Formats: sequence, structure tokens, C-alpha cells
Amino acid sequence: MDTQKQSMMSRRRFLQVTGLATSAAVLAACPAPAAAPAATDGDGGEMMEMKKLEAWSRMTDLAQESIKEIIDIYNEQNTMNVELEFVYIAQTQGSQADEKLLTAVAGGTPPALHYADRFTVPQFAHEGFFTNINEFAEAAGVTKELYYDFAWDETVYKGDIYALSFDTDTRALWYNMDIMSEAGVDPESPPTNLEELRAATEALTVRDNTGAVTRHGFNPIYDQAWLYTWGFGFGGTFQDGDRRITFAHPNNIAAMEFVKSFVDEIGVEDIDAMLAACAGGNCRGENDYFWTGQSAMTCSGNWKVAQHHRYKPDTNYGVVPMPGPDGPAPHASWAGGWSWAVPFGYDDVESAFDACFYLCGPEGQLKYNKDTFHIPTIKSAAQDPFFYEDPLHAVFMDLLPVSSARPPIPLGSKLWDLQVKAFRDEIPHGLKTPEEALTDIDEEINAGLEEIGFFS
Amino acid sequence: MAVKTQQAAQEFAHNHARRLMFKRIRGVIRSTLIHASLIPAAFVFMLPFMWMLSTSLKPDVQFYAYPPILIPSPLQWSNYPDAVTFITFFLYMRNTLTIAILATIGVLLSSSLVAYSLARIPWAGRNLLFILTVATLMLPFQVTMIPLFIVFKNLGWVNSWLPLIVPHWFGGALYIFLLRQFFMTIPMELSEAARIDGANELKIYYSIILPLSKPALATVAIFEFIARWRDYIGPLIYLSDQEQYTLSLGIYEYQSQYGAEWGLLMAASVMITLPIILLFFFLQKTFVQGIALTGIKG
Amino acid sequence: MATASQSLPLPRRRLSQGTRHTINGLIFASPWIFGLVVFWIYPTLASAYYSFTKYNGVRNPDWTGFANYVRLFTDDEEFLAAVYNTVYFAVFSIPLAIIFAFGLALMLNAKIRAQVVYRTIYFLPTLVPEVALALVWVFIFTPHSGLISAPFRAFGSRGPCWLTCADWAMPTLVLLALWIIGQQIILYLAGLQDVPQDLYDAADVDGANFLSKFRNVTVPILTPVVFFHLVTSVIGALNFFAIPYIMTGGTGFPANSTLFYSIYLYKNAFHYLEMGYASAMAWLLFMFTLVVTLIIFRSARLWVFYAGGED
Repeated sequence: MDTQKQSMMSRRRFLQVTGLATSAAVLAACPAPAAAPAATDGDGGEMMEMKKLEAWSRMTDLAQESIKEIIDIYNEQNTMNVELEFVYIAQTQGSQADEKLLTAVAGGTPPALHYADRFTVPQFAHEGFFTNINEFAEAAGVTKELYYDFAWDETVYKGDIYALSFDTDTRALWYNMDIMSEAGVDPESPPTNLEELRAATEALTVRDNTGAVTRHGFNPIYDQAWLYTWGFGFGGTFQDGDRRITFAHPNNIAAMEFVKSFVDEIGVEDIDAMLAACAGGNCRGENDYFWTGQSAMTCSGNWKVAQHHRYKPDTNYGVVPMPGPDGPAPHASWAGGWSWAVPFGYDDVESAFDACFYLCGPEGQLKYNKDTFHIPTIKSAAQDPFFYEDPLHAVFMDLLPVSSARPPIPLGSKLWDLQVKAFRDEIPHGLKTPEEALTDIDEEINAGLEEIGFFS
Repeated sequence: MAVKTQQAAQEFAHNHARRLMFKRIRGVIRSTLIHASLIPAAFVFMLPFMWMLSTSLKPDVQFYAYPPILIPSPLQWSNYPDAVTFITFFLYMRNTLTIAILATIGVLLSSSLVAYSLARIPWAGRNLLFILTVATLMLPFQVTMIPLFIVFKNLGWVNSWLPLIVPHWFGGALYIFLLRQFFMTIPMELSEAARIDGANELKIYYSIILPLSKPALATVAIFEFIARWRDYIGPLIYLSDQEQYTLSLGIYEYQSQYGAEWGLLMAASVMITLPIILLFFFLQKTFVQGIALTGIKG
Repeated sequence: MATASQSLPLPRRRLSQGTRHTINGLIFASPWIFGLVVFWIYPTLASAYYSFTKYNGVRNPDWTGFANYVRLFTDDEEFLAAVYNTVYFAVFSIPLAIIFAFGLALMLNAKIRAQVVYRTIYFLPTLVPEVALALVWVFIFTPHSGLISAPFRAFGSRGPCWLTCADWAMPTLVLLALWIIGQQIILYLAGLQDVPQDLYDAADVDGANFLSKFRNVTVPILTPVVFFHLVTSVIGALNFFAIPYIMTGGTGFPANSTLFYSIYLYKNAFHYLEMGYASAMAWLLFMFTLVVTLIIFRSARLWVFYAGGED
């Protein structure tokens, strides 16, 4: 049934496109164009005045299929007389910027919904790119209790709601049991503290005749091993009660001193070589050093469960909470994820919110997160037994209650760039001591927050 | 004397043969030297494409295998049919072709007219206009992107191909500059003679200047076609209907937030590159015709 | 428009030649003048205005006078690093690109076997989609395991660190940029078709050798093309973006050594939502480029040879 629908679609598409090409050719003949060849109205006419809403997103592949199905369900059952439409938006290589959204909002042609990385929401809210949806959320009965705290906090700016969270993820230590067996490391007792992590790394690392690493045991600054991961693992915090940034927390400094000594032990050239090979997103998916077997352990997220089934179903992998200074540190995990927001300037906020709440409500979240192996941010949805079926995924589910989030501040992009620079450049290369690097982040960001009146 | 003449003739023939032989030897040495320097360079220049080709035929996870695998085994031909069904490849290709062809025609017509004005008609404001033209190339697009978007929005062109095609019908600064440079190398006497014969400027433009500038026009066509073929930011910003998307947007569909279909992406990249290679292959013939025109030139 | 110069209603006195030229010049240039007015003037003026404001793209711009410019020079280390890197890159890459493109074009213009194949091959790297290029280049330039390190490996050495250490990063980028001179080669090839064979024949009669023919015939005829290449590559080098962005994700690592002007500008505009600040950067770049270009224009009288005569 589905295939038939698709082939009909493609014929219709073909007709549209040939029409387009012809009108464009006509255009070529007369340099002063009178008629626009835009065929945005597609095949209108058969429904009575359905209002079209666009949902912009970078989702591809499985995620795109899933969201399209969710949207179809919404379109059948919504009472707003609207038709939601998925629009795929390409994401610039290696960039976190949303050029298209920014331009569209600036130009006054925003979509009804935009799929946003959740930690950027406070920034977009502060800068006026997203619409305050308080009033509609209240009317719909959306409350803080419904969602996990970390997810809720990122969608709220100065007490107002600017987005609804959609999915989340947690972080832990993945290890390749087959490589461990082969290297004589007991795959049944993965590292539980930092000493064991160092020992396992040493035992699993393979070097060639030049001394260069050809198989990494573990790279402490690769994948999801970020400054946040180590800092939380060492019991540090990144924001105080006054919402000031506290990267220079003593435990964070201790964490970075550990990372620096770990990097030196492995050899910074080897760490650099691996990071260079992965520049520009090159190590995503099948190219990940972990799937290629060029890294025996890695700190990563629950999304790897789906990749495991897909890329390496026959290799044995294990997952444990990240090792910490005094034994297992499940609190090293932090949760990220995505959300849907109504961009500023979209006129029919009521309809847009209705659609948004369906996608991010229990039904939408459950379907999407099951389809894509992510985790719902709605507490009740996350209790679904489906998420505990796979024993590896269950490890990640158990981390949810103890996971933290990155500090939700309106200078999110700047802060992200600064901490990446400290973590992957300044500290490992010894350009700054951990204390200097972390203090500099605090100074710059807090001054910036002060300037925009964040604390008042 | 007859003997002498004969001797001289013999000597001449002998010398001539020797000169010819030397010339031939020199030619052989010369072309050997040229090949000797071109071949290693060609190897280097071929690397990116060869690696792309090789990766497009790789099964599974051989991309970053160490040591690197250059000739995959087995060859995974299925990446190609899979790549064109994973996204609406041919639709995107048709869209891209339409935009690129229409923009290229426009840019050729308009830029050559404007360049003609700047290079061949002595009028007072032309140097100012020329400097202004070159200056338009200097302001980074990142900061004019939003105001330009607003211009197109006010024209009602957002969400269509118009912003990607129509501006090119009014000329492209780079190509105006390029063609001006070429037009200025054509001796002025040709124009003056034609003017005395009563030819108007349009006639001089299309019957004298354009035929003499085929290599330059081909260069413009190639440059513009490639620029439109690869344009990413324009389609990204102005198009919001997947049916109108271009290949440069489509190629990102092989990547997701956490993963990527590398084999398909590489296969698609090879297929995206082929049409331009073909275009170049045919157009570059114009680069060997110029020599025949020497008779006309001063 | 087609027959404008003839069908202009002739007044009682014939138009002077100068007036006729002005009218024709304007008519031929009219599409571009119209295009400038519609598509260029407003965005340009708007960005100039933004450069004196605090503006994020959506809120109304707040006038801040010269604050953005002052901040660039007094309170922005990354800006200074970006300026240094970009100028460094321009100084080294432009002459190399001219020499290589010119040299390869000369060889590719010779009547040799497989000429077409060579030309196509040299053009290839400019055609590969950027997404694929990222994978390919990164793979080639990965320290130690990358393809380019293979010869070093054979001698038991790790080889250079390429983009991962500050000393090597910039030379590596200069080298990488030489990979994409295909378009410039095409340009010179097109220029070489303009060199009249009879000039060479005349030089042959005079017994000129290869070098003197090159110096006295080929180079002068090609100076207009060199001029174009020089001006556009100054603009291109100062806006260098794609390669370092692909290779480092725009981070500027290590130690800001790969941070380029346009990358920093892009980040300000679209990551940090500081469109006003980015506009100030853009206008500084614009002014600087304009000055350099005008100097080149001025100098052109001394070295550029137009067979069609100077204006």
C-alpha cells in the first residue's frame, strides 16, 4: 500500500517538475520575468481551505521517516483544520548555525515550527528568534512535572516557555568486548575507576614501529568525552545559584588536570591525529573509530545502540557508567537533545503550538523515540518497557535520573565554542593550564551575561 | 658553377634535413620533458577524485581502514542504485540542471554586453563603473545575505527559483571583469574600421568581438555553470519546497545527526561530478581553436 | 535595445561621436546598472549601516557608533589572529597560484598527446562536492595514517603533523589551496589562445629562443589575464573559507593558527548572532581589499599590456 502511494506521488512530482522546467524555460526567453515559476501550491483544490504549516528540520533517513509518519497522524486527527508539512533543511557541513532560519526570521517569512538543538533555545529566545508560548502551553496543561528537569530547564528562558523538548540522550562508556578478549583484558570486568581506565587503555592500545598509535584503547577527548563529562564525573558543577558560570570549580580543574596527564600518557600527537581524521563530522556513523575497531573504548551515547544493531551486529559490546575518581560515576552523564519551537514572526501561534504539542506530547515523543532509539523527555513516556528491552540501552535509561545538563544561558554558542577550545586545544596542547583556561571561560562568559542583563 | 650550385643545393638539403631532424629531436625532448612534469602532477590532482571513486565502491567500513584500501574488494556497485533511490536524486539533478543552464545563458548574454561597453566603447563613466563592478566582489556575502533576502521577499520571489536565476541575467561582476580583460586585447582598429563601414555597436559586438572571444566565453560558461551547480547557500536560503531542491542540498540528506551513508554519499558525489566533467570535456575544444584566428589580429 | 545606436531619432544636428559613445555605453551596460541598483545597493548600504549598530538579524538595530570597530582593534584577540593568518595566507598563496597555474597552462597548451585528458584531470579537484572533499582531504592529511604520510611511514618516521600543530598548519593550507587552481589554469589556457602565432613566427625568424619568446611574446599578451587573476585572487585569498572550514570545522585549532577572517566573520554572524559586529568586520575587509585593488589597478599601467590599446 505504501509503495503504491509513493509511486503515485512521484508521478505527480514529475508532472510538477516538468511544468516547472517549462515555465523556467519560458522565463529564459524573456529576461524581464512577469510570472513566478514557483509551484508551492502543489495540488491544491481538493480540500477545503486547509491551512498549511511548515515544520523545518534537518532530520534525514530514519528520523525523517518517523517524523513524517507522526505528522501524517497529526494531520488526520487535528481539530485546527491545518495541514502540517515536513520540510527538510540541509545543515551546513561542520556548522551548528541555522543560516536559513535566521534569514527567514529576519526576512519575516518564518516557518510554523523549527527543530532546534535544545541547548541553543535560551540563546534564540534571548535574541528574539523564538516566540513565547507560555499562554498556549498553560491552556494545554503543559507543566514542568511532565518533563525531566534538565529538558524543561533548557526550554525555559527567564520564566517563559520558548520550546517543547522532543528527545534526549545520556552518556556512558562503551567497550568492545571482542578486542578486550583478544588483548587479554577481561571483558567481563570493564574499568570502574580512573586507574582501571588508564590501565585498560594502555593494555588495549596498539602502536606501530614508529611508536604511533594504530589502535586506540581510549581517547579521553574524543566523541562524547567532553569537558562537561569529565567535570560532572569529578563532581564539579558549571553554574551556581546565581546562574553564574563556574567552569573554574575546583573539581572541574582537577578533572582537566587528570585529562591533561592522561593525554600526555597516550601522546598528544596521537590524540591529535585521531581528532584530525574526524574533523568535519567525518567519523560519524560507520566511520566512527569505535565501529571500525580503531578504538577499543569510547565515551558515547545511547544512539549507538541503534548503530550497533545496524553496523556491527556480530561484535560484542558492553556499556557501563563512566569511570570516576572514586569508582563508577553515573553522574558523569549529561543529557542533550532536541526540541521544537515556534519561530518569531509566525502569525498563527495557536495552530503552530497545537502541532508542536502533538509532536512533543506523549504520543509523538513515544513514536519518534521508539523509531529512532532516542529517549523521551516526558517522564511517563520514558517508562515504556520498550526502552529497557535492549540490555545496553537499559544502562543508559538508568542514567536518566542522575544526568545533568549544560548550563542553559543565552550565550550558548559562544560558551560551547570556548569550552571546546579549552578542552581540545588549550589544555591538551599546554597553551594554558587547566586553571587558566577554565577561569578565562568564566570571565568572558560572565562578563557577557552581565552585559546583557542576564543576572538582573 | 653548376657543380657549385649542385653542391650548394646538396649542402642546403643536407642542412635542411639536419635542421628538421634537430627540430624533431628537440620536439621529442620537449614533449618528453612536458610529460615528465605533467604526469606526476596529474597523479596528485587525480587523488581526490580517485579516492572518491574508490570509496564509492567500498563495502561496509573500509573507508578509514588502516592501512588504507585503494581498490576495494568486493566492488560494491549497489551503492550507485541505492544512492539514487535514497534521495530523489534525478529530480534534484533536473532542478540543478535547469537552474544552472538558465543562469549560465543569462550570465553569458548580459556579462558580454556589459564587458563590451566597458572595454570597447570609450565613454566617460566606464572606468568608474568598472571599479564599482570589481568592488561588488569584495563585500563578504554573509553580511549582505539578509538584506538581499529582504529584497527578494519584497519582490515576492522567495520560495522559487527566481532569486537563483534572474540576477544572473543582469550580469555577473566576475565575468564582466574577465570578459573586459579579454575584449581589451582585441585591436581597436577592428572596431574603428567596422564603424567607418557603418556597422553599429551591436553588429560589432556579435560579428567581431564575440567570435574572437570564444575561449573567454567558454571559460565564463564553465565557471558559471560550476558555480551554480555547486551553489549551496542560495538554494538553502531561498528554497523551502523539497520538490525544488538542488543536488547541493540533497547531498546533505545522506548525513544524519549521528551517522552518515558514506558509500551512498560518495557514489552520489561521483554522479554529481560527472556532468560537469562532460561539459568541460566538450567545451574545452574551444581552447584549441583560437590559434586559427591569428590572421585577423593585428 | 537591439538597434539602439541606429534607430535613435536623429536630431537636426548629428550627435557628436562622444555623445553617441556615451549613449551606446550606457545602453550596453544597462542590464548591469539596473542589477546593481536592484540587487546590490540596498544590501550594501544596509550592511554599512549595521556595522555601526548592535544588530542580531531580527531585532531593530541599535546605533552604537564606532563601538564595533573599536572593539575589533582593542578587545578581540581572535580578530587579530584572523587578520594575521589571512594576510600570511594571501602573501604566500597568491604568487604560488599564479606561477603554478601559468606554468601548467603553458604545458597544457603545448601540442602533446593526451592533452584533453591532462586538462580534465587538473580540473577535477575543483569539481568534487565539498562534502566529499572534506572526507578526502581530511583522509589524505591525517597525520601519520593519512595518504600523504605514507612515504614518511616507509622510512619509519611519523611525518609532519600537518594541520594539527601551529607551525605546519599554515604551510599545509597554502599547499592545499594549490590543489584547486583548475579554474585559473583554464583561464590562462583561454588567454593563451589569444597569442597570435605570427608573433611567434616573427620571433623565430629573429632567431629568438624559447625563453625570449616567452618573455617578449607570451607574457605581455597574457598580462591582462594575470591582472584579472591577481585582483580576483587577492579578493579570494582574503575571503578564504571553504578549505580551513572543512578541515577544522572552523575551530581555528591549534592555537588560532587556522582561524581565517571570513570564518571568524561567519561565526560572529551566524553562531553568535552578532550581525552588527560581523558587518563591521566585513566593511573593514572591504576597505582593505579596495585599497589593495586600487594599488594594483594603478600599477597596471606599468605592466599590463592591452593589444586593444589603453583607454
